[in-house]
Amino acid sequence: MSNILEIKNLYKYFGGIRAIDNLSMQVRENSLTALIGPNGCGKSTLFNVISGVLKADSGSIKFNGTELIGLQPNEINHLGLSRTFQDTKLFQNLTVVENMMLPPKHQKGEKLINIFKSKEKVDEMETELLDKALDILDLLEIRHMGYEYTKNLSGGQSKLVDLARILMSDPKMLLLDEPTAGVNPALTEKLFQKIFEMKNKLNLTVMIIEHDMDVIMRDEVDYVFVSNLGNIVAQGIPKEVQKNKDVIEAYLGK
Amino acid sequence: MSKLSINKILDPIRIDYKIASSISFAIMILFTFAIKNTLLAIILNAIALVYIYIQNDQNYTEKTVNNIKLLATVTNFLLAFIILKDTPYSLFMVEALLFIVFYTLLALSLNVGNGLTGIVNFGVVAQVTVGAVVTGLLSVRGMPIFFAFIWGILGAAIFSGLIAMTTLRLKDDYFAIVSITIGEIFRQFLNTEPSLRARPGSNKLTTPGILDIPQPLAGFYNSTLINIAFFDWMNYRLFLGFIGAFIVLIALLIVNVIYYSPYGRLLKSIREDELVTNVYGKEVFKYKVIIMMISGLIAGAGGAMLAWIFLVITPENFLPLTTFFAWTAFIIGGRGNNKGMIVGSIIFVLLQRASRLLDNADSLFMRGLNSFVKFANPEAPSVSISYLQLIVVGAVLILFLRFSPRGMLPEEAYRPEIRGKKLPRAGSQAKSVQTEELDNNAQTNNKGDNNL
Amino acid sequence: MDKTETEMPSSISRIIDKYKDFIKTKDASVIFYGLLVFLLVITIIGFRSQNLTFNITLLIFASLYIAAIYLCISLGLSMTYKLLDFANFAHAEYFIIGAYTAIMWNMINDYRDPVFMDIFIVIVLGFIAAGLVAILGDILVFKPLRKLNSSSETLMISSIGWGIIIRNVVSVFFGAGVVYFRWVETKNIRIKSVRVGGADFSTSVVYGLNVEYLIAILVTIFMVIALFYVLAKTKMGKALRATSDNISLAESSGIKTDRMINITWFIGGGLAGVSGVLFGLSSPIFPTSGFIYLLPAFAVVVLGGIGSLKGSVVAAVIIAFSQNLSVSYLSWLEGPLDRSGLIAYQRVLPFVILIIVILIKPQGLYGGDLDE
Repeated sequence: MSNILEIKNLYKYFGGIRAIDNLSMQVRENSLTALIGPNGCGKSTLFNVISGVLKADSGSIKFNGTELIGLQPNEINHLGLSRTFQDTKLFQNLTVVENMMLPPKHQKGEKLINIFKSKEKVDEMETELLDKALDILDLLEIRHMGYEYTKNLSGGQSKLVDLARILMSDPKMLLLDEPTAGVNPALTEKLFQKIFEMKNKLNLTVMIIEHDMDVIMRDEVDYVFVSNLGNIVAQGIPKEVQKNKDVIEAYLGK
Repeated sequence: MSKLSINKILDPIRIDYKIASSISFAIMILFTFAIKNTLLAIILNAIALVYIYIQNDQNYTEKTVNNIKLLATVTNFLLAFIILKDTPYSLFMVEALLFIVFYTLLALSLNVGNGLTGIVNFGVVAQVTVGAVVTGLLSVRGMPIFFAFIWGILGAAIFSGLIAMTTLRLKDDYFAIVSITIGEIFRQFLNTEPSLRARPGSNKLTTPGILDIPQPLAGFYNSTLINIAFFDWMNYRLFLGFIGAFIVLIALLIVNVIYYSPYGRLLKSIREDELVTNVYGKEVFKYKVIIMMISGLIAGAGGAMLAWIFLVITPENFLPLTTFFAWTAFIIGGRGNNKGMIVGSIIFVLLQRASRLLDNADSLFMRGLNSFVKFANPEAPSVSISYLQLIVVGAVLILFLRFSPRGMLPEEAYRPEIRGKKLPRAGSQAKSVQTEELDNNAQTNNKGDNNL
Repeated sequence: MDKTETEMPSSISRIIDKYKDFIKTKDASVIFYGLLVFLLVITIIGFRSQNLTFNITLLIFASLYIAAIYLCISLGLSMTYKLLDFANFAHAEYFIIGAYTAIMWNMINDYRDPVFMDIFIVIVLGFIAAGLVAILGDILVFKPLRKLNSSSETLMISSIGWGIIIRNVVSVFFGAGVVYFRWVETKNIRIKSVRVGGADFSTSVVYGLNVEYLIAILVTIFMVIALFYVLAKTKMGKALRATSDNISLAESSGIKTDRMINITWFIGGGLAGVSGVLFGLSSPIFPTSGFIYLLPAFAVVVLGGIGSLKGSVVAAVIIAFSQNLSVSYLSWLEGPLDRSGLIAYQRVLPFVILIIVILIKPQGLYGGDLDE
């Protein structure tokens, strides 16, 4: 299998603080990769740099052979790389369906002229998108909340809607930032099963950030990166990593 | 059985509302013609209107309630308009109509910019200035009024687009400060630039301002309408109000199309979270620039309206106070609700101008106030009612922000049904999706994650 | 999905980004020095035409006076902006409260000729009155909105409303017309000055310096030093700084943040009130005179960096001097450009500085990096 995401010598400084320090990593296509590390070790910064929210100081990030550094977040999304945020950033005053109908690319209704000139085509596309949204909600078994305002949802439901939302843009790769943070522990397992299911059904590459190591040490995870102080300190399949001394040190402190 | 069918017939307008508004109309008509006390009639009618507003029934969707409120407010205003036709208050009502049109345009412009897209635009008056000055200057220099108007609104749109391109990347509050500053710079230009002074036929003016601005369709009105008996009660000011109402209608239609389209959904997501919208593949900046241009277009039309209302524009017409008034109408009406802009402007203008009816130095209220002021400051000049107006407006705005931040007509939920399309329903839940049902869902869902 | 459509190029934002990068990087200095050279050339042309003149002493004192007024308003504005994270458009109205308090003192004393002591009484009274109104504003308007977790946008709009209420309550009691503080007479101190420019290039002239200017400058210097001392050395000052840095952190470490917010309002409003008094000593007062100083005060706050008092001091001096210098240039340029009334644009200069600063360096001179 080829590498879908290649990061080489990436640096990102905040003033004097090294958030990402000479980081290099590769993610294989159709794999489920986890990035773990203690809080504040630059995991979310890495996602922010990959998705174009923050600008890297130097280095290179290649997605499917395209250089991502210097691209706008929207352009990166159009290449098929989609992400979630740690604090599930749903559009609070919009319904679930509206939330989901935003991400699809090349919508007819995105051009101002179209909504006046070719209203039928826009409506046609809207119906298509709505069907698609409802199908995805069916897959995740949350169709009944389709017309709910997202501000009325619970933490776990929000995480599922978030997942549903990024699936709408037909991504090739998902970056999930702590998909189980703030979720009832009993439901964490269920949520992970949904993610695995999605990944297999839709042929996705998935990369997950977690700070809780136990959550990630399971058979479905193909590869694990352990990050500390802005760098990768260990990598391998979950069982190898679990035994690694550096990892234990990173987690338990000096 | 019979009860059910009546309800069905009356649906979706609730019977209470119908009764309440009929009573209010009846009272008003009664008092006007029987007792000949129009002021009392208006006050009683206002009480009935307040009753309509505080009604709250879960069985009706937000949209229905909003429509009733809009209907009640507009019909009451028009009714008062007709009833007061031959009274000394008719002039007041005509002027009120003109300013309602003006502030509806401004509030609508804010609704596109802020209510829909979340841009904090404190420079409405700058957009208005461009619209008014370009329309005024061109028509004074001899361009046909219609084309001057088109250039005016286009100028305001282009100007807004340029401002947006350079400053919209800033934090919200910085943009607010910059936009209010640009309005002030424009006012200074108007004050000092000789090229921005004009009157028909002469170019040398020593005082700032554009004088004798021609009004739209004045010739048509004078030659045609004045001869038709049906229009005998009409004067040109009123006719101008209708022209303005027509412009409002067009603006409202355009904004409504944007509002209930995928484009509007995109803009709402920008309002909710700019970053996420950008990360999900939308070029936020581009949309914000376009929306500022549309908001400039509408505010520019408001500017042209202002030029026609006053016939003369001077720098004093473009104080930052106008921006604040527009925000007040916008907040009262309800952010994010186009219909609300009409209601908000009606309430705001009546609130601001109704106190003029009290402006009688001999009235008990004014005498009391004056003696109180004289007690505190023996040298004080007699109190002008305009200060009280502004205090009331400021207080109402703050009270709205605190107790009813969603305004008179709150933003409505998006339902694809709005666009007349029936949706495939979830298999398990064949019932129609209604607000109250969703609310129930929400309540049960919030109890725990078990529904997941 | 329609795949035939090409990827949307984000052309506009790309261009804007490039243009912003251009300004932010080394080229910013090119622009800066270019501007300097341009000014120099203009100055030389002006001197050669013998119409551009500067009265050095007048320039210094008039600028320091305006800087003092700007600074007193903007210190409080900067403090509350940093602490509560919204731009308070009502801040300039506290200036009015101070000015009219002075007028009230005049009235209460039956317009006897104020003695020198009166000025200090009036300053203290102005401080207290304006500070109390600022606290009242927080209690009535801003605190309830903060409790509702309102956005900064809501707070800004309500602050405009609050400002309008204050301004018009003042108008009810004093009318919209001009009122004066009955200071005996304008006293002048005659000092020597040099006029640069003109036929002889440098002439010695005598300049009558208003005592009020001197008082304003000295009082402001005293107050700024006192404020810096309080913030740096006292326990309360440290608590204030901690609160404005991170309100939730301060709260968790046992600081009574509500009290600190009230103190900040009191000091901030009070300083604006004092500037009103100082302004009223030498100039006529009317209810909208506060609003005139609002936007220049924002210019000072933004140029100095929000929350940086040191920055505000520097920025006030820079803006006041450039505004006064521009008067000389503009009045000279009226000749060659064959225009009258050009001098009115000196009022616009702070606005232009404000916009340029926000576009090029939004964090201001001494502000932290806003990106983080």
